[in-house]
Amino acid sequence: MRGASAAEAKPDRDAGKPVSATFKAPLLTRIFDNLDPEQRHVVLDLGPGCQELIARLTAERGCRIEIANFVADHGLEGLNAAPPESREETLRALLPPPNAERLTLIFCWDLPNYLGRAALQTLCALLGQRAAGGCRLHMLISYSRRDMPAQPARYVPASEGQLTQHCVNGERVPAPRYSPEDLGKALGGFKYERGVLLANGMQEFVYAWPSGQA
Amino acid sequence: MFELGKKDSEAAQAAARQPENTASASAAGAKRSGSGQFAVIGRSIQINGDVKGDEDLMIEGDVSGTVELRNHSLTVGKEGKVKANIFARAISVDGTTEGDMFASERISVRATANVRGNLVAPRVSLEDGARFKGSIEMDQQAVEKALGSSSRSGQRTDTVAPRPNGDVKATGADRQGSAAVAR
Repeated sequence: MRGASAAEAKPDRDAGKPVSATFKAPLLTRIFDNLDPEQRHVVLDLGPGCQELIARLTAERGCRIEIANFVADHGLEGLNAAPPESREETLRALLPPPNAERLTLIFCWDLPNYLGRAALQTLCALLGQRAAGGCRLHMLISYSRRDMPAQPARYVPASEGQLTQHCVNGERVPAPRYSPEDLGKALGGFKYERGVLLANGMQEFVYAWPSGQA
Repeated sequence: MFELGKKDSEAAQAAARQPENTASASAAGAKRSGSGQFAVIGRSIQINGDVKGDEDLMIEGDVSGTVELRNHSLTVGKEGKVKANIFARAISVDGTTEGDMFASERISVRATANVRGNLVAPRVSLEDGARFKGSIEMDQQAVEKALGSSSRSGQRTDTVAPRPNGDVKATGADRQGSAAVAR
């Protein structure tokens, strides 16, 4: 199914069945290739985490990985249901407790598709408070397709610069289809570096936290 | 005081049965001990306090406090619920844990596990399906620092079996033998 969205195959007949698809993620490959083995990295994965990512990152020396797992324990639903005045507090509770070390790399795969614009803005402001100068934010968002699975997919690094998307066939919801300009406004201090439209209709973005802002 | 190391024939028989009812990871944990000896905290046992010991341990019950098996392995079985900081040589989790884990060799988070806390070990594995929220630190210096500082603050015990230092409760079911030491 390479090059196709995992959840677009026969949603009715195969409802409830797990599906997976592998696609190339060139910007992620570039990030992995450019990790300095002499530098200690502090990585935040907003998704559920996976062994493949841990193995890939800890092949480099001295890496700390924080896994926020927003989808666990209905965290995402709780966030979207939270009133505006408690949104920041809810987000703080979903993020790992602040650490003395600042973040050097953040993975935010698929999550922006399931956050409202205001929640995304608040999240990025909180991430900025923890980011080191030069910290990279790698994002995957749904872009050219009008709909997407009702729940965020799980993404696992595969060989040769690819990512495998795992999700369950079933209900689909409209995709927000953020434009780069929309995202730029939501991301606050993070500055756009590069974006690539992927074969599966997703867009891969890399943003950076400016050095002077840490 | 309830002693998990007490040699009770009925309890020992129950402990011998216990691995058959647990996941393969638990059985592997027993094999890793070499002689097949490990202590079991049965599924209806509740411990509020500190657990320390010098043999491998499997937890199928509820433990709150700290667990310190500095030179041995801990397996949290599928039914196990541990709310504690854990110090061990190797830790394998099939059940639920909340708290930080420190292992001098490895930590394995199995597919059925639900883990919240920070993991510090030279090797950490996270199986597909596992629910994990927290941080993973595999830097050797950080591991040594964490384990070194904990050993200075913790008191070693010379007990043969894990001894809970606090409250232990068992239901009637457990008096029939699901808390015991397999020998």
